[in-house]
Amino acid sequence: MDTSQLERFIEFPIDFKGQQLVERISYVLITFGFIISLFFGFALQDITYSFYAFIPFVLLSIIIVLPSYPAYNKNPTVFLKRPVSKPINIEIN
Amino acid sequence: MAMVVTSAFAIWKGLAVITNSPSPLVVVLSGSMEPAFQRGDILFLWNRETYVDVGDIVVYNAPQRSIPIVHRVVHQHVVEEPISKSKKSKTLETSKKTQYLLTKGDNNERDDLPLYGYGKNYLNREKEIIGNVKGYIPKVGYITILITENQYFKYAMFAALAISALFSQD
Amino acid sequence: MHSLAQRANTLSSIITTGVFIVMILVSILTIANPPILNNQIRFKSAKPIVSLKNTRNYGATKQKPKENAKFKFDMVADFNDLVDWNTKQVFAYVYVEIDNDDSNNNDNENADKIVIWDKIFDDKSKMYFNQKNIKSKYSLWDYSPELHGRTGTFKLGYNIQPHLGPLTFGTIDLNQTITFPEIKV
Repeated sequence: MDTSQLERFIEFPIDFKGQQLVERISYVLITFGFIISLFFGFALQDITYSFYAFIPFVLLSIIIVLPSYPAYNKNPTVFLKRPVSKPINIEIN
Repeated sequence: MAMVVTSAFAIWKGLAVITNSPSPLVVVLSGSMEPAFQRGDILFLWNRETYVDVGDIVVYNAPQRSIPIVHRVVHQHVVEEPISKSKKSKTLETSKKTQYLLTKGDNNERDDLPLYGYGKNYLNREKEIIGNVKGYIPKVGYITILITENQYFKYAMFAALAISALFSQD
Repeated sequence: MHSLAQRANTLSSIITTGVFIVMILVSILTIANPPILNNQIRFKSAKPIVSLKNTRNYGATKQKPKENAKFKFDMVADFNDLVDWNTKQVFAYVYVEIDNDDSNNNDNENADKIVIWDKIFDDKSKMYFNQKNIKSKYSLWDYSPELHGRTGTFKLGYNIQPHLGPLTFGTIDLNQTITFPEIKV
């Protein structure tokens, strides 16, 4: 296992587009979860139900956001190739 | 990390000034107020009223006990007492109103007289009450109970912190 | 957001911020429309029994005995109005306000207040209370040793304990005044 593989194993990296997507998903999911669970608790007239209703949203967001899915790695950053220096031939007459 | 610690300390001291209470947030450690408060609940205290009322839940420092107690007021008396001359106070008032309180835990059979120590029948509002409970958050403070009472949890947390410090790249 | 740890950190901070906002919202809602007890409470107390006690359990010592009073009363009360979605329990207590000799003015700030009975209502379907011949749970004694001849007014206090947020308090006059009788020997 070389270092890049070790890094992948520890970090679960994702690319820049993926990071943007993940951030948006977590905001939407959590906000949505709060609204739904608050209404749920209010409808049943007990705020403790809101708490229980929010737990699935937390689990769902953990499952969706944390792992490094291939979908978050579709646009890998392409680094510029290092220019190869060639010996220059100079002719001297 | 240092920023977090210092700003938390500043907020804590700022709250103490606003609420006039030496510890504006307390974690419930005993079950004597169940079912109202359970272990690990967080309470917000306020300490700006001159007198507290019967039925209020107060936090007080009992003599010979290091941990403050959260109980409900069941007796309240406002007593006008003469100021003793020996103190040489410069004020013209000759008497001072003091509020005396008796407290009881909702879950306890009887009042707190045994907790006060022999010869002490009442708490002094000014001297012994740290604050009056105004707000409540359930369970969140349980983590402090885990840290202080469960050594394995403490070690596990230190280990997690150490590992995260080792692997973080920033 | 590059690594797993950073994503976990961001997610937990979003959740914490959300919880904080929800707590503030719920607290504002609870403060904005505090529950008020609208319906009448029916209360009737018999004449108290006053006796002389000289143990510490009754606020006294051997040298300085104190007069203690016991009560029996009937009460009908409906606490359903106090319950909303954030109510964990209602703590109801009956207390006696004893007039002070030295303060005959109308402000009752100085009146001695002593709780004689309390009950926790933590089941939302059982908020109606109707009982006869209730014995006072706690013996009544004052700061000063004497009770006989003084007058007391009954009041009902309630404390609504929320699941989250601010505690609410209220008091209702029970419209009964008694004069403490002489010591029963």
